[in-house]
Amino acid sequence: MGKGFFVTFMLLFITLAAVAQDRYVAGTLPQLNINFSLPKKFRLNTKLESRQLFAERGPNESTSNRFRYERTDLALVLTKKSSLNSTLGGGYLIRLEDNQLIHRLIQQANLVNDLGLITVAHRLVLDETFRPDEPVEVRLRYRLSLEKALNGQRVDPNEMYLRFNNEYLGIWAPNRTDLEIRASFAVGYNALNGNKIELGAEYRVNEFDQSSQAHQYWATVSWFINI
Amino acid sequence: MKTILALAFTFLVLPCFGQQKYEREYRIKSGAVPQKAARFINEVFNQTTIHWYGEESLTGTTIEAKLKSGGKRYSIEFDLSGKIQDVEIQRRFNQIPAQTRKTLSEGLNQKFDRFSVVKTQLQWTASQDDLKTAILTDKLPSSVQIRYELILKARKNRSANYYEVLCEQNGAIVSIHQLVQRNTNNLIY
Repeated sequence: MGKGFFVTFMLLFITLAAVAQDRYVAGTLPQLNINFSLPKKFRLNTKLESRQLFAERGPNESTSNRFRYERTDLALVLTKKSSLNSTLGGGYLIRLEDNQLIHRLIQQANLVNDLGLITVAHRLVLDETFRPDEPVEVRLRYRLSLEKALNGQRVDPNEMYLRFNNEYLGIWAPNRTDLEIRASFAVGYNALNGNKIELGAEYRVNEFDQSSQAHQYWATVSWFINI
Repeated sequence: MKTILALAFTFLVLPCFGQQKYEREYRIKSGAVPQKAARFINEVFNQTTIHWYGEESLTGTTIEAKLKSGGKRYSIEFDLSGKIQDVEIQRRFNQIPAQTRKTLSEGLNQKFDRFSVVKTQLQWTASQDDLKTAILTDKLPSSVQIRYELILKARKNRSANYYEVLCEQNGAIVSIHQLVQRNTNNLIY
């Protein structure tokens, strides 16, 4: 089933991108999230994420369907509950891409509301990215998440759920201003111990400052572990 | 591949031992509902959409019908044989009689440093016939026991949590249970 889902997903998005004749990348985006509970309601989230490309097309290029590893991110975010359903946090991300290290500082605020039939979450992030020989890039991101249990009103242990994310990123650097829009959809499984696995698809579009946009199509698998 | 699957299974399943509370709620099809429960709902409520749920906890399994009728939200609980347990009707906190609210608030102020009411439900417990009369006529037979069930957001000893509070008709507190908050890490990070 997993293989069929992946093949269908890749075919669908590659076809869409080919029709559009825009730049695109398509690949997999696995993510491992390990959450540590700390004293005084602090939590440490460590996130390891990497990108593998299976198809891509650059400006004025033909489509390449060769596998290419693109990058790996390791992020550490420390959060503290500011109320029963909100958190404030800050962290650091290090990225390895093209044999270069990229650094990012992260500040974030979250609000999670359980509305009975659906859970709605808001995330606001401000981050600053430092690349070698490039000016600092600042991004302001807002993400809306919706989560719905597939059986009953709430996501209980050993149950599956659906999750939808929509995120908007404003990007500012001295030499460019851009917008990125992301939408993702996932089917998740909530284990008895609160650990979760999500399998889904994500679409991103950016470079609105160019004549044609760049599209990204990802098959995602995310694993959330609590320690 | 087998190693990855084994690792995934280990992480997902092994830490399950020693969990604090097991409670599970799930949707059930109307065809799987005890006949007695379905008959009660059909006799009392006409032409309304009914959502049926099963709820498993350490104390047993119950069947719950959730529906909206006459502008009111009802939760009606049955045991597995279809025998009615209670009827709950969603209310606003300020719809509770003033004297009840006063007594209840005084009791809660002693238990918590501060609190706010998230949800209020009027709870009726009685025989099936009396509950039917209560719902259909809004005239409560004297045998109906009236209680209130509240969900609170409250702070105690510098720690905030959600609580479920059950109180008598006069506002005297019957029980307070802390609710376990669900893990929402996938929505935060």
